[in-house]
Amino acid sequence: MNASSLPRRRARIAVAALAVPLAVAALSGCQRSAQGSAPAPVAPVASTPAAAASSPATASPAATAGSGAAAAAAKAAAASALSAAVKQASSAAGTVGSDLSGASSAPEGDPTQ
Amino acid sequence: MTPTSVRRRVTVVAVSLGAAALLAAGVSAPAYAATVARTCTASALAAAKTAVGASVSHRDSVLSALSGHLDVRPHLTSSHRTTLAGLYSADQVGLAQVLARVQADTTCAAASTDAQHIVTDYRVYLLVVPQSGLTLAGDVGTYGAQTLTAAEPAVRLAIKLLPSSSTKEQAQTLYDDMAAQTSAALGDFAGVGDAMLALTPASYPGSSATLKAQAARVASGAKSLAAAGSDASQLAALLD
Repeated sequence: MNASSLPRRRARIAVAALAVPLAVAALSGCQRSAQGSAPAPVAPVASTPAAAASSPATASPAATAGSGAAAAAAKAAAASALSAAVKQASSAAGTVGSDLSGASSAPEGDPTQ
Repeated sequence: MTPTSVRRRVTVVAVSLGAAALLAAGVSAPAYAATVARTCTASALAAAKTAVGASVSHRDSVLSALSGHLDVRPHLTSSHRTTLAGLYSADQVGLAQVLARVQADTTCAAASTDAQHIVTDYRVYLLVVPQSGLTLAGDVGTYGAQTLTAAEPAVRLAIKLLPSSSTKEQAQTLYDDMAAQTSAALGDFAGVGDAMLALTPASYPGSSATLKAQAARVASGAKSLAAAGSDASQLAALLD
């Protein structure tokens, strides 16, 4: 990473750190305005891949009409989270391939033993 | 030296080609031992002991290398790490004990019989190596899939907030596939380490089917993980 990219990276990290709370706050605000003054809890996020896959990706009309800033923040947070996850997952996938290969061929050993 | 069958090596070194031919032809163990007893000489016994020492030494180096792999696999579970480290250590101690017995043997037949324990009691190449590799692969693969799972809430939120558009539809499609592939990978990797570490040298050759089945699961999990990673990469670009 060169020196000129550092400020951009720091700014991106800062945006990512703030993005989820901002987006959640925006969603909560939308729901509050739609339902009155009582705080409406944000629907819990499914914690498993299966649950996530089955969760309808439908928000209330108020939520989907959330501010452009919240949407941008959420996009930045998601992109940042995904980028980090992709790096980890890619590294893990490479390691899995290496270990799988090693498991099927003993180095210099007789596999019948 | 490249180790081959300990028994074959002992045979070649310690007895005549005729005896080796008998063994290869399926002559019974007692008949083989009798042949060895007739043909064994002091120099042949010494050579056999040297060959056995080399076989143990190579296994010892393989076990040390496997032990070294544990240091560079931070995502191995602590339970599996402990079990594998204990396995390597116990095998190295046991192999050293077998070697000591062989070195103390006074006949080629006794040396040959003891040397077979190097194979049958440890199965370093046939069992320990794949046990290690597949356990590591299962745990690392689980970690990799979990990192994608951890990113899912943020992605779902971002997609929710996208205005209706082809981009939103594309993102939803990619997300659905990523979640499905990640789930499939987690399913494939789950339990691989436990299944592998439950195998013992005594379970051979019946354990071969388990080895193949678990290797197939890891291969399938790796494929799903790669697909999920590709989806995630495209999603990141779409949302960036």
